[in-house]
Formats: sequence, structure tokens, C-alpha cells
Amino acid sequence: MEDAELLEAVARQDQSAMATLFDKYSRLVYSISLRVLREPDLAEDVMQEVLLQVWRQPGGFVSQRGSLGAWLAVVARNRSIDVIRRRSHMTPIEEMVLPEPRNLQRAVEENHLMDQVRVAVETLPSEQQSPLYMAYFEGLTHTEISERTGTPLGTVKTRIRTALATVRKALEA
Amino acid sequence: MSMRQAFHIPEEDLIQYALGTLKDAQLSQFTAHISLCNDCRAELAKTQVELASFAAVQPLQELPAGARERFLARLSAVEEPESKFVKIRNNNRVFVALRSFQQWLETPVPFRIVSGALAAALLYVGYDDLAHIHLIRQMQPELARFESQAAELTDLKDFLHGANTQQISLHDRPGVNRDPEGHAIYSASTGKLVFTASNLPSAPAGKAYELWLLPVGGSAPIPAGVFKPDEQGSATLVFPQIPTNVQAAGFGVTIEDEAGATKPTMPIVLSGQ
Repeated sequence: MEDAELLEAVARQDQSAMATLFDKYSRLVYSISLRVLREPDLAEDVMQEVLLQVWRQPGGFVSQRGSLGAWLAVVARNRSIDVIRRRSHMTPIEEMVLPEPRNLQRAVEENHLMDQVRVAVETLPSEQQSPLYMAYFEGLTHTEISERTGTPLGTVKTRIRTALATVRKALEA
Repeated sequence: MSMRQAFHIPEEDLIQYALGTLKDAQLSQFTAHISLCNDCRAELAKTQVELASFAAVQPLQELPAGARERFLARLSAVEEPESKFVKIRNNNRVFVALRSFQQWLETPVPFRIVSGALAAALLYVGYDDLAHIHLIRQMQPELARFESQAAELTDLKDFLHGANTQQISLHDRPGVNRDPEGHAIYSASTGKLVFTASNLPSAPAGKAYELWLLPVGGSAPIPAGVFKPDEQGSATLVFPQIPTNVQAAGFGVTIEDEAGATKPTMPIVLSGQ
């Protein structure tokens, strides 16, 4: 079932559609949360909250405007980072997910394209992959990454930008 | 005149914006810009998908045992929103009256007498008022949401209009004299328009600049706001009063009397489509 159909069924409070949506995306959402939080219980809490948000407010995501997978990934990551920030009384991340014409779910289904992204990410030099990982999954600022790794700030910025450019190239290939 | 912003957020800053690692001051500044700039919004969306793709191709973890069952149990426990039928039925006065009467019959006799007297008094006051209060209470969460959204829009509008708000155009060669330029962001369906201009000379005494919406099909230009540039030659118009659902072929700026005109006076100072 396409995401748009699934969401329509969820909007009608169809629990079996929500279960299908869970089967489709729960591992992605959980995996991202677990990488950020490193605590399975907390990651499961975040996963439940993110998916229940779809159940409570299916209109919060408009499928015609983008990808449900990308939206869930962004929300899962931001929620998880917020959990860490709340512990250290930092400003929560503004949950702003924007429409994007490329459909990540379709991309996931098109194994070839997603394999290209996977290969691109796996073959990123570690000096590019590592700062991007720290920024995305640990929520570190560029300055914090620079301090932690002893790499000049400008170099950190360039490496992250170059890593994302490689992902973009793979998505557009 | 361009329909786009004159400057854009650098890619590295957009990445930090998407990652949520910007400082509060920059965050507000960039949020204001992104809300007005189609290019930066599109670029940010791409960056978010790239980040999401980076996350999606990391090895997936297995869910903890029983996670699916726990989720489905929680799903069943979530209060289901009222169906349309239930909403209509519950708002029906006859249904409300019958249900109340049924509940009243189930109460002990002394309470029934007291509540009966109270009910009679309330009926005397007027059922409509009660129904309205009930309706208002039901709508309060929605009203609160609208109020919050309106406050955000007012903040944005105040910010763009504010006397202390500076508009700075960034160029590759600062200090070089620039030509006047304007940028319009317009939604025909809502009739919402934001217009910014820079490098404009002061208008002659008693005169001001006036923006015109040029409808598709060539009908008469629609006045879209009178403005005067500040000392730096910058000006902003936010949400001027214009009709909705008018497709724009373009926009033009002319010099008119301070009070504004109903028809543009030549020459056209700025125009674009």
C-alpha cells in the first residue's frame, strides 16, 4: 500500500493501516533514535511517540508534499536529540520539516538508488563520515566537533558539506 | 525586479540549520529569511532529505522483543477522536436534552428535586446561552491554536515592519552603487504578498512609491500598497490589502501621491514578472 493510501486509512482511525505503517517504518525510526540515545527503552519510547503522532495527527504530514520516510527520520532524530538536550537544559530543536519533491520511501523501494546512497556513504572517507555522524546522531555543533577532534572549524564544515554533496550526487544519479 | 530574495543563506549554515545546531540569534534570523525565500527553503528541504538518507542507510537495528505488541496496545488505549456522526449527534440539542433527562432520572430523588429546580432556573436563563458556552468550551483548544498562530504571524509582521529592523543586501562588491531592485513573494489563493525593495532613491516631497499587481489577462492594475524607502533606500510591504485569487502576470512600482492612486502614473520605476 502506498504511503498516501496508508495515511488516508490512518486518518479514518484504521488500526490495521497503522500496524502496516508500523511494520514499514518502525525499524527506521527506532534505529535512528537508538543511535542518538543509545538506550533501547528510551529509543522505543521515542519511536512510539513519533508513530503515535502520525496516528493522532495524520494531517500533520501531507504525503503529496514529500516523503513520509524522510519526515519520520527527521522527526525521530530531532525528538531524540531533544531528549538529550532536555537533560542538559539546552534549546530544543525546532521541528521544521519541509516539503521535498524526492520521495525517500520510493527511493528505499528502488533498491538500486538506495544502494548507491549506501555505497556512497560507506565509501566516504572516515574524516568526512565521522563529523557528519557526530553532527547528525550526537547533535554536536560544528564547533564542538572541531574541539573534540582537534580539527580546524573550517575543515569540519568543509568535510560535512562534502559528505552531504556526495549523498546528494548519489540521490540524483 | 526579481521574485526571489537578493541573498541566500550559505550552504554550511543551512546544514547547521537543518541539524538544529545554530545559536538562537542566528536561528531566528535564518527562520525569518527561510520563511520568505523560496530558494533557501528548497535548499533546506534537500539538505534535510540528504541527512535523512544518510540516516536511512545506516544498518537498521532489530526492534526489542514485544515492541510491536506494546505499540499496538498503546494504540488501542489512545482515545479515538469522535467520528463525524458522534460529533453531530452529541451537538444535537435534542440528543443532549434526552441524554441529560435520562441521567437526571437515574439520580437519587432528593438530588433529582434540587437538580430539577436548578434545571428549571437554567431553562429560564435560556438554553441558548448554555449551548453557546458549551460550544465555546469545545472550541477553546482550536481558538488557542489559532491565537498562537496569529501571534507568530504578528511577530513576523512586526519584525519585518519594525523601525529597528535593518535590511541588508549582501553583494560580491560592497560599496559599489547598485540599481534599485524589488522582490515580491505572492500567493494568489490567499492574497498574501510580501514585497521588499532596496537601493531606491527617496521619493519626491509629497510623493511615495506604490506597488501594483498586474493581473493575468491584462485587466486593470490593482494597487498593492504605498511605501517610502528608509535612509538606506530599503522598504518592505507585508500583507497589503489585495483581493484573493488574482493570478499575477507581474508587479510594478510607480511614484504616486502619498495617499496612493487608483491608476498607475507613468513611468514605471520597477517591474517584473
